[in-house]
Amino acid sequence: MTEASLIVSLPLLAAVVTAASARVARPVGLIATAANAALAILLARRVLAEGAQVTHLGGWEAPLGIAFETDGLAAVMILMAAIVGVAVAVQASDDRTPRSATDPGAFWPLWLATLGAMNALFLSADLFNLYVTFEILGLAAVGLTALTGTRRALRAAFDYLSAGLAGSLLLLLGVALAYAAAGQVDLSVVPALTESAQGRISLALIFAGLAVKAALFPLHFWMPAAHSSAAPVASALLSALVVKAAIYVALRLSLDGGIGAEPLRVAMAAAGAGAMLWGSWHALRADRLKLLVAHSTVAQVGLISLALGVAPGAADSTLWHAAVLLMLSHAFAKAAMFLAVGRIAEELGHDRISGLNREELRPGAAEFAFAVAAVSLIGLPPTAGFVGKWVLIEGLIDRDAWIWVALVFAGTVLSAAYLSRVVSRCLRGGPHVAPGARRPQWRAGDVAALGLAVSALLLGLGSALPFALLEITVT
Amino acid sequence: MIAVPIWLVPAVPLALLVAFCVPVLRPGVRSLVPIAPLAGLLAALADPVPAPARIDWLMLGTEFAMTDLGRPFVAFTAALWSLAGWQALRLLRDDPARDRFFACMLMAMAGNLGLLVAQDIASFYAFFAAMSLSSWGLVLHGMGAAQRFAGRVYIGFAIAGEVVLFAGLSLASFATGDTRLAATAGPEVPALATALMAAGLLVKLGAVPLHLWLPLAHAAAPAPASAVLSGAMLKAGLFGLMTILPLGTEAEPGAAATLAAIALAGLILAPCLGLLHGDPKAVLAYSSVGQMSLMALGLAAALAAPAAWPAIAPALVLLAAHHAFAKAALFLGVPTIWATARGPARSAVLVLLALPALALAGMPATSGATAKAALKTGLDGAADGWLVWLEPALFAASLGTALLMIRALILLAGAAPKPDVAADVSLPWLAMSGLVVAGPWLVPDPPVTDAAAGLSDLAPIVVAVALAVGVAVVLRGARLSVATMPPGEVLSLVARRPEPEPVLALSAPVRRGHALVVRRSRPLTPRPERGALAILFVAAALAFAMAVTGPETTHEPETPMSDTL
Amino acid sequence: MSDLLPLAILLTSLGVAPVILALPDHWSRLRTALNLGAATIKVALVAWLSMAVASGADFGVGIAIAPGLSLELQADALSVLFLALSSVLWLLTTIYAVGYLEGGTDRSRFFGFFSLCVASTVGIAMAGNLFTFLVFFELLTLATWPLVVHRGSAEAHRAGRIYLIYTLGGGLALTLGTIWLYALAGDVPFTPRGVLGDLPETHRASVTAIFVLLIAGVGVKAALVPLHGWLPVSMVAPAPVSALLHAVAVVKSGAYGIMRIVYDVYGVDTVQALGLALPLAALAALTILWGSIRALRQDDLKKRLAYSTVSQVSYITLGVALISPLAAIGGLAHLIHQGIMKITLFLAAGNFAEARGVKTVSAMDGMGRLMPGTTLAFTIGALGMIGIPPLAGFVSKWYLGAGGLDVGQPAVIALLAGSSLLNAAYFLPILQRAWFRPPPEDVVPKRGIGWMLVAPPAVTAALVVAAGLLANAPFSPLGWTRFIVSLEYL
Repeated sequence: MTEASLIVSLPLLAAVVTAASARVARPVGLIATAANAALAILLARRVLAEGAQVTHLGGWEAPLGIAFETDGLAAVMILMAAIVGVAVAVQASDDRTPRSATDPGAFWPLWLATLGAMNALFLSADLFNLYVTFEILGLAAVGLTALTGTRRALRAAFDYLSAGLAGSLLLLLGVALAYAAAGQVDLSVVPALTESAQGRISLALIFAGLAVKAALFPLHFWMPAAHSSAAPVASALLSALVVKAAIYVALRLSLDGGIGAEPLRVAMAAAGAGAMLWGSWHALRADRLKLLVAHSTVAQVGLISLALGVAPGAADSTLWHAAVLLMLSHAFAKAAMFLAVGRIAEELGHDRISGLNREELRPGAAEFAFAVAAVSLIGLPPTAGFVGKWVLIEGLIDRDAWIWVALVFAGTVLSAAYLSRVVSRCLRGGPHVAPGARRPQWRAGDVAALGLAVSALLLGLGSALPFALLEITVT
Repeated sequence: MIAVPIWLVPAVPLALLVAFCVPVLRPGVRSLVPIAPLAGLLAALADPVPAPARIDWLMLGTEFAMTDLGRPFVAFTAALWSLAGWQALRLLRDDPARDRFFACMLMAMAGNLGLLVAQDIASFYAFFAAMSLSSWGLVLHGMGAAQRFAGRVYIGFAIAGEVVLFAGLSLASFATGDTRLAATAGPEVPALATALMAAGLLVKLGAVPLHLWLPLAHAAAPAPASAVLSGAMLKAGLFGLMTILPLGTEAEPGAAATLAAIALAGLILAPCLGLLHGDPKAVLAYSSVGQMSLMALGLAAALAAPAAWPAIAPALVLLAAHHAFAKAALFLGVPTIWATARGPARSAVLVLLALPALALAGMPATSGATAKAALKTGLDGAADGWLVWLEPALFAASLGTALLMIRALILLAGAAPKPDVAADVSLPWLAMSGLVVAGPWLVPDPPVTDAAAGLSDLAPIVVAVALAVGVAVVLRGARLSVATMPPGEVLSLVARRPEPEPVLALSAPVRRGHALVVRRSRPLTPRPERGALAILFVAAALAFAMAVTGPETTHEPETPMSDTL
Repeated sequence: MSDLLPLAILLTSLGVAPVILALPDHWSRLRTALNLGAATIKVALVAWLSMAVASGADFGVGIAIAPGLSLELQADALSVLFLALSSVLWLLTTIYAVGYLEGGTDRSRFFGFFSLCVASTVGIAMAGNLFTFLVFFELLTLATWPLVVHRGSAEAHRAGRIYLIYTLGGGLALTLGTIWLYALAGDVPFTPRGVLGDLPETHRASVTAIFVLLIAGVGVKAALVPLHGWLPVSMVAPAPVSALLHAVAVVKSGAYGIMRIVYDVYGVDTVQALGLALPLAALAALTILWGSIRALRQDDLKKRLAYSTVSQVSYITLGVALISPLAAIGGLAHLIHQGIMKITLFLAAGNFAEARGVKTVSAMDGMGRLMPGTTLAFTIGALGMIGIPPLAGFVSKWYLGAGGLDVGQPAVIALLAGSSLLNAAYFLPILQRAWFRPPPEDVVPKRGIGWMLVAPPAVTAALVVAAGLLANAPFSPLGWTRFIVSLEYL
């Protein structure tokens, strides 16, 4: 009970503190992030031990009050955010990184606000709360995008803001329509919404809004620029977590919406397939490392969306469990990748893929982390990505959905293709490296990236834990 | 007599071979090479014969025994290897590659002796292969173009023979479910298996048309190696055939006819081809082809008339031993000729060399005459149908041999002396010649022969001498000379031209990998207006799709609205 | 406690891999000590394990990954066969590699992935179900890639790319097949005589398709024609890598996978009933001949050896595909025999290249005189490959031939005969050049090669001789395979 309220309020409070004083921003931010992680673990333990929790803020019950529902899914997402957050905070706290990338006065409040909003979002049990937390999250994310203050970043942030606002509008419209149709905005009304035309349209609008926020093909246009021009720590957060928030809401709606929303589901799956192909194609052609990683996010979001689209709701848990595992894997791996790219770019002074073969520089820990994260993203064993894909494909085969199986495999092949462009350079040696070439020094960012990449790898072996958590739902 | 454990027969040469791997020991081991086969000789002469030995853990379960058939083979093979080793030691004294030669020789020796005492299929095959393969080294030893050609032909035939033998042996062993060598002659062995085994062994025997390797190899190898090749290793083929063929049990007219045809072809072709060669060692080799064909003829007869086998078998063994000694004496004589300058010394050597030559041609009072008589007696017992042709065949064989011997001796008489050959190479040759002369008395219990040596036995020799003199007169009178045939018969037509050595072994430059190639993509240009349109379009499309597809009729709403309110 | 033995065996290499990867390049003493220590401990543990398995002990340890999905390590007789091969040869190859790479760059990376490679091989050997097998199989792909591209040249990268395309493609097929099988039958533990015997008849088509997928997946690593293209290309890798790739890790894992799939997933009876044995055998036969024919034309020594591997590894497949206990003995024994023979050849070839710069067959002239010991080892390996008794290769061929007859396929004998001829045709010319041609005048002066390079091929050559000579002894590869086959076929 206390954890759920604390985990929302603590980051938000810390955000206020850090915003007030840039001097204490870093220690406070670090402590808050660590505390958040501890709380997330406690929360997960409690859910695991005692089942799903429902917390009514201020004692007001629905439909009047705000209720936090902590089921297994929420706990998993909160844990995910907490772990990625720790790694990002570790890199951000390294004072040797260029100051512009993580200006303590700007980064920490934005990050903590993002974290708080996200925790609140994961715990929300009604559509309106989801909308509100989404808005907070969106604004903080725009701030993160613009953090470096370069022209490029500002322009990308502006595009992001516009797109996000359009999405928010659609979302708001949908929620309003839903309220008109059902008279309340509790998530439990979603099945009822699918019964009426008005309700169905509201769901459609909500999904459209989410699609913009999740950068789902073909509404992803803002995303590569935003993610590739932001500071590495910001990119990691945006790509690993912020995008997940929208997917999370879609998953919630899909779980509660049951079978009624079939066209939406098909649209999600189809868009997911399209995203996989489009994103992979552009990643294959990208000439900058961050751009490649950003396009890879498009493709990976597509895969998750595909998994959600083919999942037939709460009744059959296999496929959406797979989707959640893929989300986890992607969060860890993508954050690791962006952090690693940050370190690589820092050592090289640029992030052009062709320029990775620097003669005087040997591959370092960051490049190794990138490679390990790539293994996870491709979905090779024993990573979480592999287990997620395994469960997904097994479910698809069970349903004889061979076309989707083929698409998932095509996506896997493409991801292997574009990631190997980079990984093969991480293995440079011999004539490509001068005899006296130096190796990059170990830095906090390397540790963070490597830690995340390895946890993505090991999560595959420990998949039993998220699976056990996901079994716990509010009954 | 001292009891020699049977396994020592192949083990002694093998042990020396292992010791040979240590460079320090090499000079000592080298001088032991002539002694290595003596364990075999002792084992063969021991009375009673050494007890059979079974070594379960070795290969697929190994068994050694001295059989009645193997015993004489072991005896003459061991003697031959010993003397050949001795001569090799003298002949190759200054050869820089002598260690390689002796290693091959020890291996071949172990194989040759081992296969005669092996009682199970796997070890028989192993020894057989060891012998064949290491002889390749003996053939190649001189490293010249002729050697390389001969080596190629030899190893081609040898490997093909091995492989066919392997196929036959495994078929036979599977059919009988028995891994003992003796079982391969059993009645339940399929004809295909027998045919394959026989084909593999006939390669070694040098039967026409599988003899092509034989003259080449004999000519190319150093003389002591030729001696063992001809004297001992060809006999391994005979030994194998005598072991695996179903002799003395049932008549096999078809197989007998085939074998007889092969044998007759050999008897006739060998002198015809051999006379056209200019290398004395090649001529001697063709004579081996002829002699081995004669032995094959004996086998054919036994296949046709099983009852005659008990008489033919000892005759064949006798023939084999006689040919081994005589042919070895001739081959060992070649270096002796090289070592002696033209003149009286050489004449003396030639006279001594004529002894084994005459023995081979079946001169009365030599081992040859005894052997041929024994064979004739054996064949007489088999006489029936086509066997009447045997008499002329035997005559042709003797005639051919005699002609070849004359040709060889003439060639030897004219051979240029080689100053770098030491005179002491003649000692082993003298010993061997002594064995040839003593031959008839060495046979422990001579087979019964009906006819005493008569003038008819001299006939082929007389005819041959007459022919030779006649041809010589004609040639001289017409001022003609005999064009010699290229070695290798038909194979000489396909002999590979020496290929130019590659100047530089540079490989083609490698195409640059795609993994390292930069690809440029278009610069990133976000288009907000298009984005807005896309958002609106998607939202509208989704809303429309949801609106037109009603709730599914099969699905009842779980929570009616009224309940929640 | 002893249940953890498989885990301990896995960790001896999996555990040291990250440590070695993290070591600075110039700490070569510590690295070598770690490497050799781990390898030695592993050999000891495997010896212990094999004793225990021989006396009938059962090992199994696992963790659940997802519902119906678990990672299981087990150790049965078949595992021990592969474990013994990989652990002993790992030790030898490590010694060799330490000598070979002395003074080279990126050694920590090399040895780290080297350990990881062996860890995956060991994992494959001890996989208790198809899922575990798949996990380690893919891990092997990843672990060997850095080894293939170790030289870092453009050519090496090209080879690495081709290697990845083939093996990841195969991995996808294997993954699809495995998932499909799990969807049909639930968990697929490796069980003697298979677990698919009682699947309903309606699944016949699916099960057949799955078999094709699985075999295609492992067939890439086993270099079955037409999936063999990566093997000759990846010869640009350093000699110890080639040796490991060919003799122990990659190729053998493929062959081992075929064994597991046929014996312990489908079961010989099911494979027979589905009519899949004969096509597999035919494919193996085709590979045997094709590999040999291609080998004939290679002048590059390592490429010739590579095509020879293509051919020889399919003997194992053939032994499995001919559903006969005798053939199985031959195939299984060849797993070991081919391993020790091929590693001898590759290590010797590496020595030729290292000491004299000899990389092609046409440059082999006179090597017998210049490097007698190495050439002798090479000779033993080559003769063993041809199947000359009493060397190891003969024993395998003998049993394969008997197996062919056992199932009424005398053509197998012809195949073996043909293959032996071809083997002779591409190996004997090398031997002839090495022993019976004088060395060229402009011979490259010898660069010193230490005992670390000379001893491993000598030891493996001795093993080749011993495996054949002592075939009937109780702890020989042949003896052990008889033990395994008695479990699979009784």
